[in-house]
Amino acid sequence: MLGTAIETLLALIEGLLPEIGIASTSIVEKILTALISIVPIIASNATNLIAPVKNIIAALQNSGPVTPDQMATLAALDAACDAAFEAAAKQAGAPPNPSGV
Amino acid sequence: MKRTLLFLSTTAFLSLALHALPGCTNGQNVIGQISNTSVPPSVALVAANSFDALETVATAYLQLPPCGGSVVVCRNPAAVANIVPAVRSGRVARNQIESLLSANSGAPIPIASYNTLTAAISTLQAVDAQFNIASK
Repeated sequence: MLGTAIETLLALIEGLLPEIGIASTSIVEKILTALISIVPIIASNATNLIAPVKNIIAALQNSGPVTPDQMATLAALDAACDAAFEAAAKQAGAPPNPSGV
Repeated sequence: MKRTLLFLSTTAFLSLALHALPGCTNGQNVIGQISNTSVPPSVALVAANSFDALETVATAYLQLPPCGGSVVVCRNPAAVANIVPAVRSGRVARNQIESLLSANSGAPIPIASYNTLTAAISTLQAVDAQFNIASK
């Protein structure tokens, strides 16, 4: 099941590659469709990615200004991603972050 | 293995999303027009979220066991040495973008700031390719 989904995903990517750089809404629509289609797969297999993918879908669908809710969601995501990365970096023996950012 | 493939597939999509937007050089997509000097805030928002997704993928890689012995799916110390500074520099660029998004209340984001973030993302993608992380 998962293997089939990934194969489908890879096929979609290959299909999209030639269209990069073409000025049309179709490419964005295809990306949106693909992103939306993989959300259930991500939700059950890679939960850490669900938030950024959903945020990207929302941003692609929105032609207006960025809302305070979107910024708050992003800030929370930043904090979680940064903390997890620094913990993993420390575990992997990377030097401490000199900037602390 | 499946998890890594899923991460990579998702990352590839995010890369496509990111690169497709400024690639619309004639100006129009569902988000809006990209000029030579600025990008719409929604595009910057996509870039910031894409970076977070890539940071998540990088985190998953760092959590692999170190290479050596019979370990097949593992993290390469040289890759770690490249990934960590790339993520940290990208984080600075992402934070700059978000500060501008908050301060400008809907105004376009200077293209220089956007380019800094996309350059950091490209660096991360290059590290992935260099160390053949896709095959892990």
